[in-house]
Amino acid sequence: MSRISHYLDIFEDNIIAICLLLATGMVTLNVILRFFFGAGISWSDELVRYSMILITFVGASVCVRKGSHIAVDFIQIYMNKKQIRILEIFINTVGVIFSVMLTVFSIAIIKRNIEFPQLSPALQIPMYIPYLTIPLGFGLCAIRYTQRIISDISRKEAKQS
Amino acid sequence: MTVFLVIVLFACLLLAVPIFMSLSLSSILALMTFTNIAPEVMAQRYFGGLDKFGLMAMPLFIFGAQIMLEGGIARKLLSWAKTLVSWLPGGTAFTAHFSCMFFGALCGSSPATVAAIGGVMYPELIKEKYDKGFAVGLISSSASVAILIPPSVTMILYGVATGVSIGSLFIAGIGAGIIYTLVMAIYVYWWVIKQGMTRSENFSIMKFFRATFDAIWALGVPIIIMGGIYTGVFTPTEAAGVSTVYAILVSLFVTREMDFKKLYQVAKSSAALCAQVLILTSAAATFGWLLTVARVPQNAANFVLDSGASQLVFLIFVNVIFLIAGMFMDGSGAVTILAPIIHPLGVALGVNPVQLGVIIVANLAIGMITPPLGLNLFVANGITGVSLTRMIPSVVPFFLVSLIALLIITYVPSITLFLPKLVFPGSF
Repeated sequence: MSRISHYLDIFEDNIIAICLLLATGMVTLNVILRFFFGAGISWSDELVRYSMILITFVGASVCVRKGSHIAVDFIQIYMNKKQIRILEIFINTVGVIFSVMLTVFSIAIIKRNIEFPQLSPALQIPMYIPYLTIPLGFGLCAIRYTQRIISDISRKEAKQS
Repeated sequence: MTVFLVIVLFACLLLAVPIFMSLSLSSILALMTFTNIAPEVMAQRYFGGLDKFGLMAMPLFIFGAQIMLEGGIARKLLSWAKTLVSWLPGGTAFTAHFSCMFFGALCGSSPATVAAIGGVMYPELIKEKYDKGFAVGLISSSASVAILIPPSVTMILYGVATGVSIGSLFIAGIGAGIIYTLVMAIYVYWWVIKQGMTRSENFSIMKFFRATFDAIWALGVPIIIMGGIYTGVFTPTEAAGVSTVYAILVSLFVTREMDFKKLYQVAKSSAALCAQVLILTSAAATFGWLLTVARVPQNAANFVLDSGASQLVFLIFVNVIFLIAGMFMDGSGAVTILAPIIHPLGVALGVNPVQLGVIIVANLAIGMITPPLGLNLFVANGITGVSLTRMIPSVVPFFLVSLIALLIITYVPSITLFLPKLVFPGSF
């Protein structure tokens, strides 16, 4: 289990890093081509957008793992440790429900896109390919939130015994 | 529907549910309860909220700023700023203050500026026996200007949310940012004189030239960004990409403070940072779409027009709303949620959209130092170890001074609009 989780970490970290470098390079390359040769690559913008979308959804899972999603958490100032832990379990449960919901919604969209194929304007790839980033990202988020709940609960038991 | 949406949103936010999830959950529940629209649309809206080339400037600028921090470019700019102002009485305080403005020209985020400038200047201020509270207050307040000085993540989000030209917002931000910094510099001068500090060194033109030569690579960054947008060679997104590649090349081959391995590490951490803001943006775009389904912006606009409010009253209203929002929300969140509602009101009343954007961003800059949620204070606390209770009293005078700057920016439109009028004649 922990080994799978370790490979997931590596997968997430590397794929978003590569996409960011790719997008940066692509934007610059396109400027250079346009400036010196008068014509850029037509599908460059689209590729940049789709890489950033991949970064967003897969990165969202990285942020769940690191606990770095932005939240208004001043309520925790008024809580003791036990209450904070209960709150965390509650938030993470909401996280699982939400991630599963979004995964289901996006799969429905993808199914419809496979039935009625639609091509992206510049890259000419079927639209369900970029849409796949949503279930991928939120599926990972669901796993991460479940992991957090497990670690929250096991931590609690460890303290009691 | 609107009441339901707002209640669910606030309940989630109060329970410390991440902001992006609070926004989406309330939208999904409202959609399922009050409309016949299939909730699957949410997934599509999420995608659509991100599928904009203009928005891509934000992650690229975030990446660029991280590179400049790790690759030594930021430090070079800091020592340049030092030779520029350190001859004043209380030179170290002024160095900290003005380097925040210059650093804002490299990076578009205030908390990042606190981290960068605070890490270097706070130890120096303490070494010269400045009051701890003042030192922390100074750094966290001065750094807030970074979102007014282009490039600015908050301005990009404002442009994407409302359709106002990001290039114009950037250029308008220069004037506002300089006023903001100068007004605060007057307070710093007054404080320094009150403490009886005198000048410790003289301005040396030779030293300045040498530092400029040293910092020449760092100074290239704002020149590329503003020059490129100004001459129309590239869009803000392309400026972000080009300046990032420039920063990578300088760090790899000129300052040699970065190798390929480190570059890859920075890419990893920056990408996670980008996701953190991007997911919030797409959630807010979804929420904004639902507000239009519920006809909130239209109703609000009608309400304001019927009430016969003047521009003057409206701008006070905008300032109050965004100062309060800034207390409880991060600037990115506040802009993406509120800007689509406020912007059409301003346009209906004849306020210049670019100026309105700058006013809103100035409010959110102040929001960076107002508790309970003042990101700059949290970062400053993390870096210096000074507690929030110690920090807040010394931030109060800076807060009051920045309100003066805000009033000037709000009611003297020529400060913000002077430069864009010069650069883009005809469109104003």
